[in-house]
Amino acid sequence: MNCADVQTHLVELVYDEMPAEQQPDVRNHLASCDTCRAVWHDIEMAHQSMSQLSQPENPSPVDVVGVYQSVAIRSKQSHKRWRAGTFVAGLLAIAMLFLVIVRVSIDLEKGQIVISWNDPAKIKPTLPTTTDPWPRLDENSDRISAVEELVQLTAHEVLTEDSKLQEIVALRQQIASWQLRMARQLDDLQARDNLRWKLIAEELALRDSLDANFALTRLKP
Amino acid sequence: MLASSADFELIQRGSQGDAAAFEILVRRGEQPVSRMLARFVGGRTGGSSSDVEDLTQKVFLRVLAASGRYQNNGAFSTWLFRIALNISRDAARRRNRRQDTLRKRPIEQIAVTPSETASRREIDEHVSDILNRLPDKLREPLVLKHEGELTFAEVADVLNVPVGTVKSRVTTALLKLRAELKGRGIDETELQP
Repeated sequence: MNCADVQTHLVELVYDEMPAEQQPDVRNHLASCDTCRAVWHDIEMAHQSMSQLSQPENPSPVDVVGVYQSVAIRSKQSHKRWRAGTFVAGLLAIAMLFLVIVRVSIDLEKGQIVISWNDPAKIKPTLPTTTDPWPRLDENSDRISAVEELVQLTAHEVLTEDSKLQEIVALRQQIASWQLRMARQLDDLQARDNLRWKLIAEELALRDSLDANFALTRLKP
Repeated sequence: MLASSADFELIQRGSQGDAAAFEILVRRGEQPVSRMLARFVGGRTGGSSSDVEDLTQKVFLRVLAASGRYQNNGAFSTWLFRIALNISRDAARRRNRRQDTLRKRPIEQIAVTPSETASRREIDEHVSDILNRLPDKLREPLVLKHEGELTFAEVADVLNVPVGTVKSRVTTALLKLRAELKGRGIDETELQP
């Protein structure tokens, strides 16, 4: 055994925990090595000073009954805390559920807190459409009626509180009014066109009549 | 020290309300535990004997509270001293926070002139003072070994370090103690019993 090996085991020798089979080798080395013997001597002296240290005065015996009582009290307090914690957690869960179901929004510009629980009704365009550029007069009347109804609906929608909806409604109202004007202009054009065709038809009829009269006058002797 | 397989049965019975069984464990362990606590808490942080009694009571209170979770996978003594060590560390931390500085007695108050023979009491004070000045890493295994009457393997189990580390730290602590005693003029003749 070398000095490093021996010195790591010296403390076992001092505390009498060295295996019996190891002791002869260590003791033989100590007998022949001054350095290791000096280290062993220092450890031995320090061990003695620790062993001779006066013991602190004996404390009072542990109160076993008091220990059981303290454990019982702590157990009760822990149970109370657990119940309180569960109650608070339940309240928080209900509050979270409420916030999920009920939408809460804060409008800072208007200083409002809005609570709603349904999605706002989606406004669907109900404008009638047609592909015929020259609809007949009765179809156009239906169209005018539908547009007028839409104007009334949009006017009603203006009364809603949602500012964005109001904007959309306003735009749609404008569109509806344009369309109404267009429809009326279209009606006018249609009426004029009908009148023009009527006049043309009358003119043609008159010409036919004139031609027929002229033909008759030429045939008479 | 406590290392009996019957200890597990005593703990089980104690956790089920058998105070007599639990008292057997308490009476066996209270002296080593209180001696260990006195070295840790009574020294560096200036605790009193009533503090040591309170802490010893606290150790066994925690042992009883945790007895339902004790598994028979190691000596009861190492489990007991692990609890005691944690409690002493908590107490030392609390005291250090309150006091802000370690309460160390100046060496001049206990030093004797080298020409005078140090009395037993003075040697004790020197040894205690040197122990208190050791870092925890060296002091804990040394105190556990001496006051806890534990083997190196049990000390390693309590501190959760390898056995070789415990032996190395105890060796270093003892050599530091010896060097410091020499530096204070206490020679080996005064250390002889």
